[in-house]
Amino acid sequence: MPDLTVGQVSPTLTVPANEPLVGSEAITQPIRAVRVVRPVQVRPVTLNVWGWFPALSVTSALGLVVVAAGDRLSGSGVPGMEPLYWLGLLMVVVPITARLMASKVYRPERLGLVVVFGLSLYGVKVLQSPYAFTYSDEFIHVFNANQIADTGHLFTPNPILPVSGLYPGLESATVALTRLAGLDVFSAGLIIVGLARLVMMLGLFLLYEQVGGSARSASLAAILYAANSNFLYWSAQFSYESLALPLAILVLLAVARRESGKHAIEFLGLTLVALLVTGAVVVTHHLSSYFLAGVLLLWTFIIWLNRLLPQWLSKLQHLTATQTLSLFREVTSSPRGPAALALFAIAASAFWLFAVANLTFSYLSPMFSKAGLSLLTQLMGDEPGRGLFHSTSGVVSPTWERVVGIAAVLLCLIGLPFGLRQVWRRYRFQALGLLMGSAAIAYFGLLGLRLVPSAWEISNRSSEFLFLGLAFVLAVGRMPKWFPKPVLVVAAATIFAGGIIAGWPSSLRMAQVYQVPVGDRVLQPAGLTAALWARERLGEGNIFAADESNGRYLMTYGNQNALTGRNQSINTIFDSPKLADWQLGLLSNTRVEYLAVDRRKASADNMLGYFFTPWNNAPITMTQLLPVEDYGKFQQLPDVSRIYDSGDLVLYDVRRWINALPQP
Amino acid sequence: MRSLNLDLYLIVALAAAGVVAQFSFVPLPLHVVGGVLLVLICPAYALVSALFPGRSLGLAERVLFGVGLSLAVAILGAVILNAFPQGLDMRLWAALFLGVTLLASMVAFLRRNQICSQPQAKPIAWLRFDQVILLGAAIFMAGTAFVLVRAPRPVTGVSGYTTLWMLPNDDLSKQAKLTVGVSSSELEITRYRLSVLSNGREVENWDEISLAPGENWEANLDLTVSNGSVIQANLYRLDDPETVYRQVTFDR
Repeated sequence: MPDLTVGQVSPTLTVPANEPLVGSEAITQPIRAVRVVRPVQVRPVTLNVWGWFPALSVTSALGLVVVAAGDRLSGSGVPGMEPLYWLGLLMVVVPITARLMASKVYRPERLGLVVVFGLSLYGVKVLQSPYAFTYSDEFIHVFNANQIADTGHLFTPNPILPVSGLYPGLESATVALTRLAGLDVFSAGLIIVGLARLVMMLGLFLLYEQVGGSARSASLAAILYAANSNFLYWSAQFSYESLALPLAILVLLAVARRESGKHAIEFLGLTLVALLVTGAVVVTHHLSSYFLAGVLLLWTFIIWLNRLLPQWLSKLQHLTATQTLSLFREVTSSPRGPAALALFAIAASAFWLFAVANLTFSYLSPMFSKAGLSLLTQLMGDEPGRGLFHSTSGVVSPTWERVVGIAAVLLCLIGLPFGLRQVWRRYRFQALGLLMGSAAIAYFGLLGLRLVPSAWEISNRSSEFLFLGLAFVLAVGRMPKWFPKPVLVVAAATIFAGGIIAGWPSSLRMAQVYQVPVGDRVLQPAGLTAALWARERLGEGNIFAADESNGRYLMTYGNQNALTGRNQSINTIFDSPKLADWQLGLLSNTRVEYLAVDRRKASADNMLGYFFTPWNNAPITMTQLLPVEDYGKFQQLPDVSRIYDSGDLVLYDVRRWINALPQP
Repeated sequence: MRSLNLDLYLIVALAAAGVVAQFSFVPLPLHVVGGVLLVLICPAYALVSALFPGRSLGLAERVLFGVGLSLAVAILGAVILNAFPQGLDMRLWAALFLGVTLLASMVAFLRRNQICSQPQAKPIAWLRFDQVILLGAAIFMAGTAFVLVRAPRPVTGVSGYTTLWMLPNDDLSKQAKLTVGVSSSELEITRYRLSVLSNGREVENWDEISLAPGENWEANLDLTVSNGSVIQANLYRLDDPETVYRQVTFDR
């Protein structure tokens, strides 16, 4: 072959077009001429691993602007802003869901979109309540944080939810920020819960990826988890579970990564992460710590079963006592499995429960005992069922919401077998995979409890735990290839919408009227004004009997000792025309000093009563007020002074009257 | 190796700066930044560097574990500090977070030096300039949403309210003096008449009290309350002079 330079054409390298080259003749025959060209410089291709992440971040942010516009109008008393709310939400949910369903999306983009998705939904909650914490449990934790900041010590008593003061994790982190960053509790709390949301989304993605082995299914599972009914509002509030559950997921990830054995160098680090964060979970929330301990225990159990059951079965019939003990030692010293971490979680939870927070028994056990009793009475037909789509304040969801809510459940049910099939085929030898599948089944098992009045809360509160499994199962399910992707996107959006509908009453999804600007002044709700007045004029620490919402205002902003709601059945003294003897005894025993009587029915609703009552261009109707004889009876009592009157809300000084009552 | 550890020196320096910001007169934004660094960022970075000195952990895992660990330090640290007589004192808080950052950085320094060979660091997927612009726009819009929702706007469809109150100056005395007050949370300037009765007989009267929204008024009653007295204050709106708008009583 002659040496050739670029551009040169060899005259000898020619061959007739149709003549085959055979044997040695091929060597002597001239071959087709070729043009030698400069070799192409191949530049390394920079992969656009972020894909549509920036653009979809913009669409999500636009969605937040739309929600904010709706909330601003709704918070100004303008009704009918729900279309803006749903439009904004769909702008967040649909584009990201559609993109994540695509197959050719790089991992960084998926991770980024999952984080944007979760933080955007957190933004929806913040926009709904942008001035202060206004959820019923938020008042409780704000009070706890204020007490810790004022006293410098933990475990301060809380008159409305005593057990909350014994799990001070959330408040500790918040007070650390208030003291060292000079922030108020509201701002610090928003940051802490926002970080918890970040932990949640990252943790979910990485955990699902660890279990499922796929970034695609991990990203879909993470956003499907947001479809659980408590994600948008309940799990985003300033409350201890909002911090504890994400931390628990972090622990599960650390353990899963550790157990995978792929990262031996990280074993010590992951173990320490798991131990420290487990400790934090135990100090922060009771149910989350029990959930974590339970999962680790089941995980260990499944590993043992998978690995050791065949050995046991073959050996069991021939074992002596010594051999049994030896086998037990062999099992417990197995190097694999999170047995040690499970034991630590159980021991830590038990220690905290018995040594610090034994009030937890009296807090949790009535929930389960009432639920069990209610279930039995309902099964026997002695108690009517609970109506779906009816809130405690009597708000009934519109028809389209009921349709979407039921459709969401049905879609999950349809997707379930497809997912369970994949779980069985691909993940049944993974303990976490089996647990996810079991949780998905258990979710539907407990769903029926929503029809039982006193058991509804168990079903509702368990959903954020069990949905961890359902989201994974739905994400790994494989639909037939011919199934159109847009239909899946619509299905996912429907499931998400159904979760919101089931989780929060329609009347409260948007901002309420909390502040009324008039000139250069800002007017506050009557309950807040009364609480601040009480603190200034009556001093702190007085014992008040009040309804749910005014009681929370008095406690949190008035620093009063407020008895409310079902606490010793205080709520019953407000909704009867006459005080019974046992109610007189109750007031005497508790040494109540003041009564806060609000004639609005909304004040007894711990979700609704904190705001200005809209009257929609008409005077407040009598159906929204308690009967006159109920709220007016205190006026007739002897030695009672009516010290404060703001129209709907009246405060009574009952000290002389209580002192004159017969002592028990 | 030395170039790797510059980050640890920086983190310790930032944590120390955060402590300084707490105990010196700095503008509020610096105070906030210093506090966030001290509580959330410096301990997170130092702890992750100490526990995972190698390069096997991806950025997402580092962020996740870092945030979780800094929150855990705050939570568990509070339980420990609670045992001190001073309790959750600001100085103890600052010492806790600085101490954790310092200790973890030292451990990270030692562990990094012990690692002879490290796997190739995972390449960081950098954003292009246009992508950074888009992300910046997204953050700006999210901030705009928050500002928009808090922007004052006239409210419709709600009613204001007026508060009338009355309290004794000295509760324990047999002959207490009383103070009466009116606060307006109405939506416009409102004019009132206040009448005070003692055992049914009018003893004090203010023909016109005019209050703008958010304004307060109070007066000491020039009467002595003895045992058995019932003092009643009735507030009327001048646009509805026959209806008792608010009423308070003192029953001795």
